[in-house]
Amino acid sequence: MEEKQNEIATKEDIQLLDSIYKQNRDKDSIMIYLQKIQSEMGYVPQYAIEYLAGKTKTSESHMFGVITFYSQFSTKPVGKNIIKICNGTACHVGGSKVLGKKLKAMLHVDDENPTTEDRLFTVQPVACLGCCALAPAMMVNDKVYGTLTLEKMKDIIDFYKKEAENGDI
Amino acid sequence: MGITIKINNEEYDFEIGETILEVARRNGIYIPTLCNLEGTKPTGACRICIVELGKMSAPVASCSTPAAPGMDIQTESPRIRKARKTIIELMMISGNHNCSAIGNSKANLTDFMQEVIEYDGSGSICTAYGECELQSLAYKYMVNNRTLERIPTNYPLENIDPLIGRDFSRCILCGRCVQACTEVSVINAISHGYRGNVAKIVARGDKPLPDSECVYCGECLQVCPVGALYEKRSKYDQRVWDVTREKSTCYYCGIGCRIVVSTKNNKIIKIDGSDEGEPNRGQLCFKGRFGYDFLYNDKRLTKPMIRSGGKLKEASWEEAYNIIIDKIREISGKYGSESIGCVVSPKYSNEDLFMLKKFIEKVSGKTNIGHSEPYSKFKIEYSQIGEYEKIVLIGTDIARDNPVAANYIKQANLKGSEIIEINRKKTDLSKYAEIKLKDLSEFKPDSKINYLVIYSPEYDISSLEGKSNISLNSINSENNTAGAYMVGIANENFEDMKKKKMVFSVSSIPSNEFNTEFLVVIDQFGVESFENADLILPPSVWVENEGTYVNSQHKIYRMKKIVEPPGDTKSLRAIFGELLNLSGSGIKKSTPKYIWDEMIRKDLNLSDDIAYSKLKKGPVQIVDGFFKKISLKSSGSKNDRFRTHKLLCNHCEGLSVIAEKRINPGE
Repeated sequence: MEEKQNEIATKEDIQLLDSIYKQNRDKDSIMIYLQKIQSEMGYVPQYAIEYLAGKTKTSESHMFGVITFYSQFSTKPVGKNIIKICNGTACHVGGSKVLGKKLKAMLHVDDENPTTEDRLFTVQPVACLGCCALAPAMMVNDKVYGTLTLEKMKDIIDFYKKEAENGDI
Repeated sequence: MGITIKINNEEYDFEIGETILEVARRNGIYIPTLCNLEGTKPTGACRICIVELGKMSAPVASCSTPAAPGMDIQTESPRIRKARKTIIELMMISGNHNCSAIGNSKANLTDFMQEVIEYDGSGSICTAYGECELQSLAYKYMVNNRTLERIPTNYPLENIDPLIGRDFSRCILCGRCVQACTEVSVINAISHGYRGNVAKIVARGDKPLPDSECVYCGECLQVCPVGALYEKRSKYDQRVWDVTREKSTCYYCGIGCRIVVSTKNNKIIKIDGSDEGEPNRGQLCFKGRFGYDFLYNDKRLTKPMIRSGGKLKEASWEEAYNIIIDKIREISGKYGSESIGCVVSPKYSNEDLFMLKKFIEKVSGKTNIGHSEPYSKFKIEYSQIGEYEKIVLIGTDIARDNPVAANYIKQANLKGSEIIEINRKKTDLSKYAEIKLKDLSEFKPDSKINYLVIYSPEYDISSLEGKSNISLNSINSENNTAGAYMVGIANENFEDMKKKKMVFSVSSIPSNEFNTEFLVVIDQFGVESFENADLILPPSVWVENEGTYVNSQHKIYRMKKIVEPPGDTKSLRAIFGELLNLSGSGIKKSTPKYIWDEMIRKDLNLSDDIAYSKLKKGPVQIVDGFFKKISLKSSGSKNDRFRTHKLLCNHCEGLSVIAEKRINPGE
């Protein structure tokens, strides 16, 4: 019954959850809590689900349902940089399928495990980024990169790798 | 004439707030549904109930669209029939619906069946065949898919649980199980998870059921319209044409839930809640639904056992009777007849208990017979619980002891009733309680508000008595406690009884607690907990006998015999009828009708209104005044309550682990 996923909450984790809960209590929406937890912790760990379920009198299974419904939440740790590769119509026509495959191969990730081992990148397919004129396009964190080619994509990945090495992020 | 809508060119009255489906159903117009679950909020998930609002409008889901004046609805227009057919086709292509493989011309039957065997481990046709709502709709709308490709199943079969199997390949994601879990039993163990073509019904972070909050009420099993949720013990064994269904009453607590017993070859294979109305309205708890196969436990005794040479050995009834009669003579000669006593657990019918009492009176010269159950009464209908704004729970862990009553309380809470809990311990309902108090003295009721109090019978609630705005209720732990009181068996101090020289123990008290010269145990199971017994008689119980019972609301109801008792087991009324005759009372007959009409009713001056034949129509309320003739001690020892529940459940395959956790031992 009490089987937990491998992560165990530290004192700091609980303090963080407490402060998130207190700051947003007036809004009374589990979406707000989950969004804050996602952005502060990078993912929604099992202990956070248990914590919130207890505080908000929402069931754990319902919470899990909400988390898995929205792609903005993740139950597994995500990388420092989130790459959203567009699968919209214009990008699809522009070859996004091939590009996505190559990108995943380049980073040694797949749909099951979208995060690189060094936790630097997470690859997420998205339905449309809304910049069809730039197709094929992808987004790294908040930045959009358009008219992608394989070369360009390699350069972008290298850029973020270097940035991480230099400790810029 | 009120406001009306037109359905299939006929005008019908309706009230504001009614959905189209409700108006149609009320008037006997058929609209198919899959996700609709009566008593819960409509979700509009499956879309099969779509109806036509007019050529210019898209079809709407009738289950979730409120009726409005002037609507002109068609329920079976060609366009609607075609749309429904497509909806069913789409449901059919994803999953192992192997009842319909031929209907799909694109599917290669051999390959398809091979896939099913790989997934399911069995090539049998779906376990719901013949009862599946999707299947019958597929027939009705003549689904014969010729265009759509089969979609493979994303999630493997969940077979880990001993009681509930989950076959995701046959799930159509209608969400009825989720509604049952969140709005009927209010456990919230399962929910919709993921999205789109990988959507799934998940339990606590997508774990198997045993790792979730599931309490095994099995409400989800009962509402599943297809073969996605099934009782594991009877998978592929519950074909509707092989199974006989009879209505009966649950064997466990004092609520007396109405059940539908499915039997096959004289064996119970499944129990469902009967939706005929009060008291349970289709609901059941884990004991009522899964706690039946103690009847088929290997340890069940089918022959009398007599101690000879220090060991218990099988014997005939005649031998057993002779020993009992001899021993009674010997012991009453030595110590006087009042040294013979009897303890009983009120799980037997009125007729059984009456004959037992008669026998004990005959041999001991007194009413040396008692049970350990406190006197309780539930004064209102269970469905009226929701009418109270404030529900006060005093000292009771009702979600474990009488789970179906807890369902009603939680449903009331969802609709806005406030729960006040007075208990030193944390209970399963604590998380729903708005106010939690440690002691009754802290509770200050407002004289303007109506309170519903449900208390544990051990609790002293005399300070609340006599107030017109407080309704005091409690529920028995055994199914026929009220009946025992009625036939004149009251609450006794067990400790005195255990020290008598010769005791007939018709309860589940382990034999080492007795300090007797001769101990006769009457119990289904054996030898383990009764190793000190001198003689064990195997009774037939529950649906193996006909008889009448009285529930906590003091309604008397008659139960049918559904299965033949095993081996040489005999009903209590037969055993003690024969013993009475052997000890010199002329008992003409020991049929339930004779005992009820000619003995109990005459003894107690009960009117013809509750003649045995009249009880067949349905339960009859017994008037309050009647019980006052009997002295009602309510000093029950809590240790003995629910002891039999645990013993029975521990003799059920797959249930013992849950029973260990879920049945309150009364510490």
